[in-house]
Amino acid sequence: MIQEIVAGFSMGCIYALVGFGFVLVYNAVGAVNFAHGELVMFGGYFGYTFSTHLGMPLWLALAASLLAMAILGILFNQVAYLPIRNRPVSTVIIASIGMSILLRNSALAIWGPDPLKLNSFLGDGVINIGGIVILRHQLLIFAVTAFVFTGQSLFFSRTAIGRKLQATAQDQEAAKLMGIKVTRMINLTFILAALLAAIAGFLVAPLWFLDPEVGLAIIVKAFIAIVIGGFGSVPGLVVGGIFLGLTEVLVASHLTSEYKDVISFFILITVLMAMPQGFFGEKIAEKV
Amino acid sequence: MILPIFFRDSRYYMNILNFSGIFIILTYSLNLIHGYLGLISIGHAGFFAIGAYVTAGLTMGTTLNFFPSLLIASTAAALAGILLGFPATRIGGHYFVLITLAFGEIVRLIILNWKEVTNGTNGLNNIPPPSLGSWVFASRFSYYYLVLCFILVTMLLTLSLRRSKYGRSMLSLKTSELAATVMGVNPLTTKLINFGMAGLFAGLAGGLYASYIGSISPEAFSVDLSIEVLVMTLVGGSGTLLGPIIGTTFLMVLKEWLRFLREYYMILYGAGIVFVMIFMPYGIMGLVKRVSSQLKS
Repeated sequence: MIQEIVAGFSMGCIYALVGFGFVLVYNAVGAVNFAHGELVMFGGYFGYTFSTHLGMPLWLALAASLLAMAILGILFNQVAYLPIRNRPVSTVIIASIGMSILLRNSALAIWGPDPLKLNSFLGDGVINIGGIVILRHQLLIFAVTAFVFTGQSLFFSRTAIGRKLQATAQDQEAAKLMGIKVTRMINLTFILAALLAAIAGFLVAPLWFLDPEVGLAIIVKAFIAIVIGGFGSVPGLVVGGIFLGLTEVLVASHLTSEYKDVISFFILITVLMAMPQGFFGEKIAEKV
Repeated sequence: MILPIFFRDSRYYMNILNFSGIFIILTYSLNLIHGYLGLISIGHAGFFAIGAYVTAGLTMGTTLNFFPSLLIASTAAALAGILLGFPATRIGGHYFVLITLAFGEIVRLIILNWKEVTNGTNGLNNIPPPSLGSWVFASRFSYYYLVLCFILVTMLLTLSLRRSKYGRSMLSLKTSELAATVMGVNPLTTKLINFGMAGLFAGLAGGLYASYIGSISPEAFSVDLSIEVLVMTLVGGSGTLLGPIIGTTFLMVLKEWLRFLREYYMILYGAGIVFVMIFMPYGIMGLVKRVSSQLKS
């Protein structure tokens, strides 16, 4: 039982990490980026190429991947967001769907359809704590999640640039008036999201392996986590992610493993219908 | 529509025509939801699947003929549409997109796993072609005219909706829900009618698809299909009368024409979506309208 909780917890952390990059962009510019899952996937794929094909040690592959992802983030912003930032929301959403298809099929063309393996930083080993077997990789996941989420809270509230990003997110007009270069902040946000995606990719890849469909699968789960926690709320995201991860594992092992995803989707719909703001988030249902 | 006479002997071209026709009807369905209500749906494969599987199940499992089965299947899909319409009143924008995604996936996953009824990944095979009395629509040529009839029916229904007070209500909701409601439009009823009709069209297309292709399995009804339908709607021009025909035909032909590109085609496809959103968000019909109004002035 504890075994399952550990597994669910770690998956939940991954969902939260994946969702975080997405939420960052959403909070900053109100844009839903359907291609974020593909960015996570690319982070992992870059890592694979750098470490397996170019023979770099894993940490160097991570650094190179972060750099590559930052560039990808800038390109993404320039091509798929900035030209349409003043259009209605649906246009941006659909453009991001287009980017998702583009990235997914680029991955297919570059790396092929077969699943690839990226190694974990801590290796494949397990440790045994009082009869419970924990993958070393899962410990890494916990550590990174804790680090990222406490770090981001400090970053946004204590550093100057963090506060500028927050200001841009809250009110672009006011930020401009305060002398903040909004376009640069938006670029920075996309870069940060891409970097987070890279980190998430490095954590997901050893567990789920890398294939072109991973991006879609993971972003859908991240969406559910985001909705449960509340769109736009970071603590909510962590809660939502862990909740989803635990529920999935417990449902799969005690109820039904085939319909596990159906149940996850039903949770999504139920939360959206009954409690649209999730546990922590903004109010979104309008009663007219 | 005498096109098929030229292609009568070519299975390949007849296939393109018939599949285009089926997808045109499916696109009319999304055209209704996106064009008239401004909502994005990436779950249309779900309605399509319901139409396909119910029709197949009934024609194979019972003594029912194609046409009554199609009717029941379309009604089932329409009901599913109405069900989906309920959340639409309370939840907007990107949250709704997620619900449609969830819907499409739930349908696909249930079909995949409910092996007793749907035969899982093996799918349903040997679905009988439609028959009317002793006349069987077994050839691609005859099927074309069957599909054509349904396209015309769909167009007529769309047109009459557009002219009716419900059509106007929907468009007013799209512009401003608050203002429309204050003017006396009932958002719930209007949306439910829209979704019901959309479900009906999609179910119709699904039934035609199942009986044409002869065997169906859950892989075909994925999110990718829903996205393709969305793109067809947008490229043609969402909310217009001719948009679905133009958009669908254009994309189906393009897909075949560029087939030699294989996986690179999909990369272009994705880029194309971004391109369309940046440069012609109102589709081909939108472009046509803009050009013609500029020519007039």
